[in-house]
Amino acid sequence: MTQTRQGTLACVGLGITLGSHLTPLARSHIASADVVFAGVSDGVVEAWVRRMHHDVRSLQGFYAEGKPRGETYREMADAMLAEVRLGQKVCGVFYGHPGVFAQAPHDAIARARAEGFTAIMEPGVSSEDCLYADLGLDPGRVGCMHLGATQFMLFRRTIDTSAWLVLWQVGLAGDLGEGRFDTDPERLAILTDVLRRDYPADHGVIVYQAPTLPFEAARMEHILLSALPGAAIGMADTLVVPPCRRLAPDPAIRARLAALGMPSPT
Amino acid sequence: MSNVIDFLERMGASAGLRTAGADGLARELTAAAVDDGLAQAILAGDALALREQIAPGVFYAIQMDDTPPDEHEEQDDEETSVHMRLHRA
Ligand SMILES: C[S@@+](CC[C@H](N)C(=O)[O-])C[C@H]1O[C@@H](n2cnc3c(N)ncnc32)[C@H](O)[C@@H]1O
Repeated sequence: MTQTRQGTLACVGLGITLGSHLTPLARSHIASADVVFAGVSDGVVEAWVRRMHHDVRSLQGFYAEGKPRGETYREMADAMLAEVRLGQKVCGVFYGHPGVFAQAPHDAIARARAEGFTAIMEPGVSSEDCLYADLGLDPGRVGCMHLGATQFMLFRRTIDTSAWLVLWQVGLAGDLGEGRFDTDPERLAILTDVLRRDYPADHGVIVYQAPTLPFEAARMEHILLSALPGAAIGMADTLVVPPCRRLAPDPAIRARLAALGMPSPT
Repeated sequence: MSNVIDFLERMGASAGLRTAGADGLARELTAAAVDDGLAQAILAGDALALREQIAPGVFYAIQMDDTPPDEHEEQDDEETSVHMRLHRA
């Protein structure tokens, strides 16, 4: 039998809050697909995706406690690619933005393209976008650095404490690839020690969670850094660390710029 | 159950519903004939109770292994190698 149709892959974002953030383009990719894979963080949201298409396959079944996460994400990409190779029009729907702290969509798209298939990503509203809105934080004011919490712990990073620091996946901070989906006071205490290299113990930090369901309120819990080990932090929480010092002026560069003067009128 | 999902979708997309307040929301839930138990959970802002009724069980939200690329050297991390190439160019 000859293949009459070449498969395609579109990974789209669902946004964070059910009903509020889905773009018309993402909805159209879902509706026009042959098969839809759902990588969402909430059963109610998954039920919503099921109302948009008759063949929605959950990616939740690939997770297991103690299973290396890299393997989980590879299997998710494999599942999507298997359908693409069969000539199907595949849509991967991921909560938030499909390319923000999300491995399977990037991997699946790269692999599909390497095999000669058309594969695209469409952006969605990320929890990062909600964070800027809810916390009244503009990343352009003094800058903002985003890191995975565990990566921040395992590697020596240079933190600019005059900018904001946003730590993702803090709910499993300190996982050494054992496939845990939680953290605990001991691991959070080590994260606190790493932050204490740059920030004082009485520095205020924010545990943030944007609403997933439209009747929920955002979690914006202001705590002291020293209280972080005792905080209840889950998979959907993000830790936001405000700057602790002012921007330091650079007199030498200012002087060089000033010496250039105003452009002379021509 | 489908009408509660439709209701949530409508609420998510409506400035009026998202800021309706308890009385307005209660009226809308009744008009949409949302089951009492589900409506109570929504009115109480109790997402856990709603999930228990619609989709019980754990849902995993984690989609990235942030034990970083150099710990998985056998896999060529595409993004990193692209950036390295750009950097060297
Ligand atoms: C695998 S990442 C996925 C992020 C998603 N692609 C996005 O665009 O927001 C999971 C991490 O995103 C953050 N996150 C997910 N949902 C969130 C929410 N509702 N509010 C705040 N942060 C959230 C948390 O740091 C969580 O550990």
